[in-house]
Amino acid sequence: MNNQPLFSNLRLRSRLNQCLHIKRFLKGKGKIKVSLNQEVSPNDVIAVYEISGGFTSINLARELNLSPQIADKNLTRKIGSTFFRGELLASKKSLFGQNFLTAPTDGVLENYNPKTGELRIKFLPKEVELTAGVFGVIDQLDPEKGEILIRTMVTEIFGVLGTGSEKSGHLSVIAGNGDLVNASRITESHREKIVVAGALVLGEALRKAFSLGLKGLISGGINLSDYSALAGSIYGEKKIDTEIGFSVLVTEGFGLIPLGMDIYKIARENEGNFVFLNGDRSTLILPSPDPNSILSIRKIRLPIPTFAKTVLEKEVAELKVGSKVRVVWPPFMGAQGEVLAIDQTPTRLESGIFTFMVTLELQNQKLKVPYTNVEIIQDF
Amino acid sequence: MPKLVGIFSYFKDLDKVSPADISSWLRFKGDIHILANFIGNRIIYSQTVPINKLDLDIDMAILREVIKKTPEYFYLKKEDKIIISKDLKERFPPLSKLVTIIIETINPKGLITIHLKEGNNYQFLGTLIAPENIEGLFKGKQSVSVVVNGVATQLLKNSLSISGVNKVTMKIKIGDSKEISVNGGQLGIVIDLRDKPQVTNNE
Repeated sequence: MNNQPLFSNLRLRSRLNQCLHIKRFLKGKGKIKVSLNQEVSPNDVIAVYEISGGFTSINLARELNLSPQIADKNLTRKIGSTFFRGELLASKKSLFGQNFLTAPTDGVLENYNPKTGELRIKFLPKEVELTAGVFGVIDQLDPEKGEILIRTMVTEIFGVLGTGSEKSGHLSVIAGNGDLVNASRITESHREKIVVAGALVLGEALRKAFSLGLKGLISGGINLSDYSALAGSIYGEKKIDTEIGFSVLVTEGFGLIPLGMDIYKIARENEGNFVFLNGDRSTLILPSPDPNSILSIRKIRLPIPTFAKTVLEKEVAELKVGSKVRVVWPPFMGAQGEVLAIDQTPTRLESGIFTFMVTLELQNQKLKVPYTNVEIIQDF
Repeated sequence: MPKLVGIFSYFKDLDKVSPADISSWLRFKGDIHILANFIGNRIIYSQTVPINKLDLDIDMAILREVIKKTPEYFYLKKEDKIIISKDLKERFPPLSKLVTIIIETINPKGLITIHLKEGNNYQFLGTLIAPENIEGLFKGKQSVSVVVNGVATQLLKNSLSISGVNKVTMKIKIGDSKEISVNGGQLGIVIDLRDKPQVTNNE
């Protein structure tokens, strides 16, 4: 008989309705348009700054389905000319209709490479209006660094790993929580968005997301090879502010693992909302879309700054009947449920290992797993 | 209480272990992506245990690579000792297979004692006899006579055998070599007659 308590690791998954700071920053020279203690709404312009320079390229030959040697004959603009987003850059008539290439951004046609078919575009310097993105109160301004600290109400989501510095954008859920997401699921309409994929986002989808200018991707699983290519190593706990062009958050682990329903449900509820994704810290911040949240924010004072805390005060807890857990090893990896019973005697597994088993009640089934293979979900 | 971790958490750079190397130890040739993801999940969820035999086999293949990279955790060459922690023993059953994996990966030669470590306490498990001059023992034959406490048996060349004799002291004579006294234990006596370091399929 086992009279000793069994302990499992705690996993912080979400914190609902927390008051904390978010930092908005100017990515170029500019001017802050708000003052200390000012109340702001998501669409309020809090700063204006200018982005200059930078290049991108489009494979014109592939877009028009022509050989690289002749594709530039179909350009409707001369090399060196300026164009604006949405304008026609090239067209080609064929038996089945006409292919068009429109400008993905404002820019200048820099050059064309007839060997590769790549059309190089230089971005035009442009003025960007930085919006608050949240309902909140301005708590700190730093014109030197171009940083604005806003006190706001948020829901925090925590993944198990991630990479990439903080990015912000509108949340778009493009798949079911158990879906595999390939490149075809990522489209032009997701540009500048933070996309919630399903159980596994494939490398081809990651590359397309990067080339289309997505701000971020959230997925239940990722292949180790793709993650290593982005983050360098799994042992990257100390990496902060990694600039890889976009941010990636993985909520469950490596491979095809359904995105946990706890997180997926919150993502669904926040579809279309403006959010902040920080892969390096494995956090997704979902500001409250409720205008009335300002009433709570007014009443709370925070030490400056107070950012999302990813570290738990306790790392383990006693496993008890009723504990909310997630399974972290196959089979049933990613499944979530409640502890229904804890065995009092150890079981010899097929692997030959002796361990105590726990019975879990999931939404539609009951299952028994070793107690070491679950984590207690800590949410607030 | 600190976070619960497993045996693999003590070995850093596990993500540098090649899935192709892992695959080479397995009968079942799994998809390299799946093996890579298995290693990744081993790192982030090191406290978990394999439920089925296939997962245990993959874990054992990872362990082989870990032993290759950090033999000092398992074998004290100066003292001629193989040290097995209690955690390792419980995590990779059965003990005979775990010991075989360590011996096959490190290939120690001579008389080596095998110990179980629990905290600061050591328990004697057995002795490995790994003669250096195998060809000299076999003299061109494919088997050799091994006499244990007066009882003779024949062992094949390139074999690695474990006899579960728990007697404290035993007299052993292999071929024409000098009789030696060794100690048995929970594991027994291991005789490594592999000529060249190679892996025997003990699955």
